[in-house]
Amino acid sequence: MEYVLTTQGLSKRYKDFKALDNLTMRVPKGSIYGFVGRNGAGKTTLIRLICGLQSPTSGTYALYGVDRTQRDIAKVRRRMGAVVETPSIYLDLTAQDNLKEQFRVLGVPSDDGIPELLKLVGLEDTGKKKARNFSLGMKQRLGIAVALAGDPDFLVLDEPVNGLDPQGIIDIRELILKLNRERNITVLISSHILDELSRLATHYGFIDSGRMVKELSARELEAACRKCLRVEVTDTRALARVLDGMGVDYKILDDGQADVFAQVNISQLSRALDGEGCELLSAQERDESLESYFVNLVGGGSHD
Amino acid sequence: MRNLLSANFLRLRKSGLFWGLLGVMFTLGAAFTLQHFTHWLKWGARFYLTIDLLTYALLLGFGMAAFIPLFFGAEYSDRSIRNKLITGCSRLSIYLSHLITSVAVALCAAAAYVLPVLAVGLFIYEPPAIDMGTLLLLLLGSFALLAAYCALYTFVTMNCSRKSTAAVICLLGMLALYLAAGNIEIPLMHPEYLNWVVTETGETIPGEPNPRYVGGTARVVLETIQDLLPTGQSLQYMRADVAHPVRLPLYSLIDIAAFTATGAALFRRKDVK
Repeated sequence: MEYVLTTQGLSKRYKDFKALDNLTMRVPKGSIYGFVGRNGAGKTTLIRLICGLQSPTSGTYALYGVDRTQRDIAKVRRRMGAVVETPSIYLDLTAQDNLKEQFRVLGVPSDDGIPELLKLVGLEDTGKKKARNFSLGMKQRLGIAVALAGDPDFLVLDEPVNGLDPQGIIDIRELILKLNRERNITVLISSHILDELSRLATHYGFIDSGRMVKELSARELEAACRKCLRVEVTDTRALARVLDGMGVDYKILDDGQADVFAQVNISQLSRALDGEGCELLSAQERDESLESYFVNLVGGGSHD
Repeated sequence: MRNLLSANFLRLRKSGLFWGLLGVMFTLGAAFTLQHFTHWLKWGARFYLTIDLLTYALLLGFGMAAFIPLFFGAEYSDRSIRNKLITGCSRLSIYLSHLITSVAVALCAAAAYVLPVLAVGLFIYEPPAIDMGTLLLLLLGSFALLAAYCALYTFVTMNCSRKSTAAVICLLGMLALYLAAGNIEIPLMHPEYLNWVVTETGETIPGEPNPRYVGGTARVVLETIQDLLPTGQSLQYMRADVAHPVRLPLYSLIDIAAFTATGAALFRRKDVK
């Protein structure tokens, strides 16, 4: 698999506070990578590092396989765009002038692409209105347009729906999906709004106290969160034979436990197991949401 | 670097702050000239052209102390500096592009000041009391001084993430440097002798020595400090009375190199939020 971003043992320390602790992650090309963590978990710190705003205390990262210390990293950065925390736009300029400004920074020879970009983010009718008079959602969309000015194929969005109204959230979600599907842009989104992320992400990285706790694809997460019956038996080989015979999807967890992904008749299952010389010890229905998965993963203690 | 300069100049053209600075400098140049014009009309008083010509060297010390933090500090307050860093612009090129743009602004502002002085003053002022070569040297020296001011304020602005804090530091710093230069200049202004005596043969000889005169090593030290301080240079250019017209631009170049090297090195290590 090709990776847009890989980090290896990345750490960042601010005086006595360790914001990132030996973090290793991989963002596959073409994915929408949901970077999940509580406030203060280290999400923004990681984004600041990979955007070149700050330097890591130790460890390294690579963009498109180019290490941060290599000379070519500046060229590779041209392929990325980012909105870190709040949108980075000149408040005393119009939406069009903000894009013109970024086009100059990038050395884009013509301003012809500006109307298309404004249309893409739904700001084509803002005219001479200065960005300071924009709503939060409009600013956020302009920030994304500025990030898209260099036609990047890797977009980093830090908490893109924070503070937005429901319509603003939908607009941003649809925009991200459109960029990913139509332009094949890889997107890294950090968020603690799990419900919103679950509608977008194809891959997840769970971070806690600066450490990567778990990385998995949306399919793996779905399997982990799938509604299932967790059964405890004396012989999982016998259980497998019975479940295969019933044509049911299952996953053996260990010698005595398995998850069964179907509505099964307990009496029927028990009888069938009995015939195989296996005892059904317990059966418990499980239905885990992304939220509960996250809480189980990082613990449910109070955080700021 | 060319792209960054192009972006800076684009923003400059749209900046009310920039046009405001030019307007203020033009107005001040016109006001000083009109004041002298009025004196000339009323009392026939004649002034040398140099009386007001280089005053911008001090005015822009204060003007740029406000302009640079407010204009470039917006890169931090609006967070647009991130857009440059994220897309791979080097920190050195960002720093230098800001410095070059600042110098260009200072020169434009100086031109805005000089324009009315020359337009009106050429008709009412006496020709300069100094030769054209020296005047040209003073002009070039004053431009180097403006660049030194820009280097100092760029140093502060690029390494201070808060626009308002940077503006306060620059303005208070300029005021402190101005007061320091003024205080250094006072003892240097005292003449060596209290009077001069004309002998019977018509020869003029020094009279009583001035006890407040600072001589020897102390004078050399004070003069060097005064020449090194941008505000000390400003006071000299303002009067068009420069003891070391060749040395001052060299000192300005030293100031520019020192501020830029230190400022760029600090900015390179700075954590941008």
